[in-house]
Amino acid sequence: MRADYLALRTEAVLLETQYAALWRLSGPGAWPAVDALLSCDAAVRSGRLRHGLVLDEGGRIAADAYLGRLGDDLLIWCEPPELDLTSLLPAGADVQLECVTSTRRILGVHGPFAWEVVARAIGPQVIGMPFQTVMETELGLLVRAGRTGEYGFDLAVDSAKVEATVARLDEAAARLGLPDGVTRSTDALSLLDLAALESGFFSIRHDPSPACPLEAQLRWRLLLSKPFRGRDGLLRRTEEPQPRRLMRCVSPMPWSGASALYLDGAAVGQLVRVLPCPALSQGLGLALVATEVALPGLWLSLEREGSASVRLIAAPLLDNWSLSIDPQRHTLQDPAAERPSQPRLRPGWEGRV
Amino acid sequence: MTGALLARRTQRERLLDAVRTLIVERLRPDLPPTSIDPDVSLFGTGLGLDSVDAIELIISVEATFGRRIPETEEARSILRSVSTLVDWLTIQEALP
Repeated sequence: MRADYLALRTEAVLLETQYAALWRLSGPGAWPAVDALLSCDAAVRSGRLRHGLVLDEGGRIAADAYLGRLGDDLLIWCEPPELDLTSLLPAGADVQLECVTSTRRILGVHGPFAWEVVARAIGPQVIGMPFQTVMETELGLLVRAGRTGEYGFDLAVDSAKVEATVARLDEAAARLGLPDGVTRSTDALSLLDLAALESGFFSIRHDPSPACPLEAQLRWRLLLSKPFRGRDGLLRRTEEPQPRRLMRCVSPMPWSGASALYLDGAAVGQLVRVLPCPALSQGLGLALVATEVALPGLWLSLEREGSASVRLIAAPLLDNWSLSIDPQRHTLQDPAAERPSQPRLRPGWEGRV
Repeated sequence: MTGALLARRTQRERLLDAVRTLIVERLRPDLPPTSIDPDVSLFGTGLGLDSVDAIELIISVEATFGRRIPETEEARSILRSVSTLVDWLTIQEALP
């Protein structure tokens, strides 16, 4: 099992990848501009975060967005990082827009004991950070958000201070009994993508074609009672019955690329992404299938007359150890304490038909 | 689609609708039931329910379906998403 994956699922892993761009918006026009852009309610309390989307005019997903607020400023974490928010804000909006990640780098620490490593490096206030919150720290902007299904923290640190910050995290980990420091991911982006697949989270990199939020099961990120970019295009889609749904699936490896899926000889969907999943020793993928066959446990074929080899499943795949680890009761420091050693599959993950 | 598969689909749609209605009536009256996707997380991201909601949900499931979610670690697995709860209810319906 790859070391960074095992560390993510049982301990803590360090992810150095610029998977998102962080934008800071200020000025009297910031809130109305963000409200007009994002699909979610933009009224967020200071220090809190909320999931949203940036849609194109046709109602398809242009970016995965996390909205936050610090004082009077609004923050948007935007995936893909290449998307230029400047061009998407309403013309003439009285907004000062700064791309924070043009001068800062994102360091992520994720895993059942990520909270302990980050708290040891920054201070005990980290332990009290609720899920989906943001605060300024001496090392940089710190976000507690779920991208992997485990405790997860992203630090936006000054580019010149990355090495010093990593050294501090390593030192913190060493004091907690991890002599080699925090395990580094050798391919952080693919690890994030695999974690999103396992957790049932959306990833903008999973779907090669722009996904529709209705197909991607992201209605919870939409506030359709307010106007926002792409809403009209999306409303046209809601008036039609949704013919397809994105589902997790287990699939043979290696994967040769997008391919049709069949049930009893009839085409019912497409396999859009497969990644090797160490917890299963098989491929874990995404299938865009007709809603009438979107049944966890159902077997589909990759060839019209072939045998069934792709199994639809319900997310999440794992019972994450972070759900059982309590910062008030557990610690890496106790050598006698029982620690997770393997990822834990959720009972009944296979579904049944 | 075979008859057995059609029956399975009908059962799942029935349970999905019932769970969605229960969530809206007891926990999230601000949402239309059709806006709750099967794989949406119940807690944390997604519907954003909290620990108090979890207790209400367990009580409501027992009142609606006559099945008690065990007060063990298993409850956490059952209540990850609408779909995982429906999976558990499907198994319960198959029991004598």
